[in-house]
Amino acid sequence: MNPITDEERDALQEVMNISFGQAAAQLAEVIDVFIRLEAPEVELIPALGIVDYLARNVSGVAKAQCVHQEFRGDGDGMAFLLFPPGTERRLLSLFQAGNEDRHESDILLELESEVLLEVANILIGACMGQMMQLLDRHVTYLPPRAMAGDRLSDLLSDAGFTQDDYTITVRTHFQFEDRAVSGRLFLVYREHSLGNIREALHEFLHGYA
Amino acid sequence: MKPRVLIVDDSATARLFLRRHLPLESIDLREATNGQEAISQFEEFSPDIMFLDLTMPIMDGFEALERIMGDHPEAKVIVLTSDVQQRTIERIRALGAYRFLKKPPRESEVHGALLSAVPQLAGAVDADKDHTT
Repeated sequence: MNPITDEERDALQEVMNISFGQAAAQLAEVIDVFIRLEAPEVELIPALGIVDYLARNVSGVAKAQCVHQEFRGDGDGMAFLLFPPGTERRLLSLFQAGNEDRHESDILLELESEVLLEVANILIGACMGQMMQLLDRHVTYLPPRAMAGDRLSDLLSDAGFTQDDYTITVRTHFQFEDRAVSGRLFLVYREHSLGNIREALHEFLHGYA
Repeated sequence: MKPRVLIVDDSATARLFLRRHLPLESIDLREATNGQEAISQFEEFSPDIMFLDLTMPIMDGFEALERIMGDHPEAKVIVLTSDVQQRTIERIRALGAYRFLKKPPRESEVHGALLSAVPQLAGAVDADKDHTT
């Protein structure tokens, strides 16, 4: 495992920064919301330490609402979007502005889950899409899945990581201003993708003019 | 005296990208990595033009812009950001930003902003363009 250099880390943070800005603008077109963005941070961590890493960065991660989406191609990995519990109801109210019909509780739960997936799909897709475009690379996505935060541990255990695997994680925090909605996005790249990502970053750094 | 330019961005990569589009031999350049440093550098250096990122640690670009424009309404601050939400653009305009550029910056846009703010750089910008093409 070769650690990423400071230059590569900074370049990845900047690519992520640009990508997330575009993703936020796309989401703002769908729902009338202004999204405050925090500067993203990149870390190289042992794959088996991801659960601890998430727990360190998200308070009450076991109770969080999580959307998980895997991607394959030039960068193999997975995205996690984590929201505090109850967020899905506030998100639903954003989509239902001007349409305040009451729903049966089972329909409401379904709608809440759908809206969570939709917001995640826009944010992850736009973010990854823009990122891959900047790096001139391509990935395909598996469908996103919503789950409770306490299932993350099982999911990561089943992900096939070994003790020797390292992953690049990119995390950012965002907040829907005036709407009491915030969340964290994590991108985790598998170790065998690190070479591809590193190469793409070098092309980006040296080719851009 | 060379025109003074201040770049404010926490990302070394972003600063590098911007430097590539500046006529470095014809300007006096300084850099800062957050809003707080931007304010102190502004007071000390009195730049003719400042490129300012928005998403930064310690103090973000919105607050730095608000404070600088409050104290120096004549300041020429070009916001260079990846946050392209319409409300962001409206907000920075309301705070008095001179211009808004989207990241990653294009040479023609950087040159256009530079020439508009510091017309005496016209010759240097043309030479820089010839050099990079």
